[in-house]
Amino acid sequence: MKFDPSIVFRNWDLLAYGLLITLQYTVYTCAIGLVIGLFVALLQLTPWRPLRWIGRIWVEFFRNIPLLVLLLWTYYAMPIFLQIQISKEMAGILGLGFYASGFYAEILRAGVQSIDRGQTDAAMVLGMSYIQRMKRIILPQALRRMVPPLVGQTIMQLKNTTLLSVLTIPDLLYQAGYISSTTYRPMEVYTVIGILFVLILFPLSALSRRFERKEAV
Amino acid sequence: MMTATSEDVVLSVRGIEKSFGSQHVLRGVDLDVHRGEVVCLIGASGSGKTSLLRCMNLLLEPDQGEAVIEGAPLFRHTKAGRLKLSSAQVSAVRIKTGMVFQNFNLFPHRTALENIIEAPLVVKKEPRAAAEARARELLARMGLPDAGHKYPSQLSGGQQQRVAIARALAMQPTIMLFDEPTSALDPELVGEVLSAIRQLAAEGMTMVIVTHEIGFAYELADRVVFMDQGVVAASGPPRELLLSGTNPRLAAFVSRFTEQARLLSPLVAAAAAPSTTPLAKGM
Repeated sequence: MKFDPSIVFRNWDLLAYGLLITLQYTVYTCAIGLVIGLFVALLQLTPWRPLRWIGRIWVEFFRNIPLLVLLLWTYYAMPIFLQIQISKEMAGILGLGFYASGFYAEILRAGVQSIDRGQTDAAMVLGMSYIQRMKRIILPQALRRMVPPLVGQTIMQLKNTTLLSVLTIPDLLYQAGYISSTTYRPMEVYTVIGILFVLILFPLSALSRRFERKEAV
Repeated sequence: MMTATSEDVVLSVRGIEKSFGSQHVLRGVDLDVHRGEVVCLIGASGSGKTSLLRCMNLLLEPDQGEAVIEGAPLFRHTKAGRLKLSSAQVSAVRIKTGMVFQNFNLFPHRTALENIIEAPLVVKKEPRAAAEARARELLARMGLPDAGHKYPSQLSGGQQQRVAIARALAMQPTIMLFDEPTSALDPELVGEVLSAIRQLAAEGMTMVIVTHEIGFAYELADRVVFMDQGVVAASGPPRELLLSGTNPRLAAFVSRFTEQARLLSPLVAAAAAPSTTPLAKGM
């Protein structure tokens, strides 16, 4: 069989729509993940033990449950437990967002804790309050260290949106399945889709590496 | 070069107790530091001298005892009760102390000048122009008039430590606490930091210095405090204390340094090696 990628591009409108959905869900779920992740990281950094435990449990739960299970549970099981109606879009966004929050929280927490204790000592001795220390001394240093793992997690997040296709959300992979089944050309379709993901994500990781080099000075 | 010591007590700690788990590192330490006095804390590693220094400004919270700075209580936890202070209240007393750390702890994302003006701007809300002017003056006093725009990573260890001293001085503390200020430095950089500290002593700054530089303690201190197993084992003017040999553990501690000095004496005699003697006083 001859490899003919033009068959795929003849359906470029479906692919473009799939790509849009993929990017859209990446943005939504990353935003939710970062906001919740920041909150959970702050819980874990408080001196108050019960709050630290709540943060810890959140992180461990969402980091250890397989994403596919989480998505299926959110869509099929949670509505029955809670006696609510939930759309597949909402289920996808919540599942992916909560999943991301566990990983983001760990990155943010570890970033703050990686800053040498001496920085806190020095800021305390100079009379800076907790907020001043965090805002002016600890977080600016921690954020630089967090950028590469945050970018890495965001790349994972974009790739993870492919699992939304099991909820029949028409993301890039879902569209690929559709095109493949109508054209009978899985060889071309999945090859092009794979390359497309690499082409989208490669600039992101290259940017992160460049940032890392610049900060290493 | 003894400085005149008035009777006015700047910092006082009483009955300081501290344990880390089963390690009882401070076992009831009393110490008064008078205005203009230079106190050197010496002792083997693990004797509690750094812990004591950190208890003096409550970077480390004692299990028991009392700490007062210029009449203002910073910590009290005695049988009579416990003093409860908010972190803002603790901070207000703590900033009467300036502290210099073994590892400098400069803020790496800030230039030398920004390191120095940070607390005056943010904590004391000083106008930027005034804070910068004083920072430049302090840098010049530390022998670093051109280092203001440099980042800590662009400075040598000795230069970083002098910036750290300037940063502490910028808050105009009444007492300076030094935690092994030269222990992390390459040998050839020790001299410049010691001479900066010597200059402060000459200006009458009250100081507590944890140090392994026993010769420096001998030269500069008004009083040497020898810590051993969490207590003040001996204390007194350096000449009497270091040469008396009445406390056997202190004598053993000092003998390690005199032994080294004896081994090096042929070198000292052969050439008045300028690199091993600290810079002349006053720079």
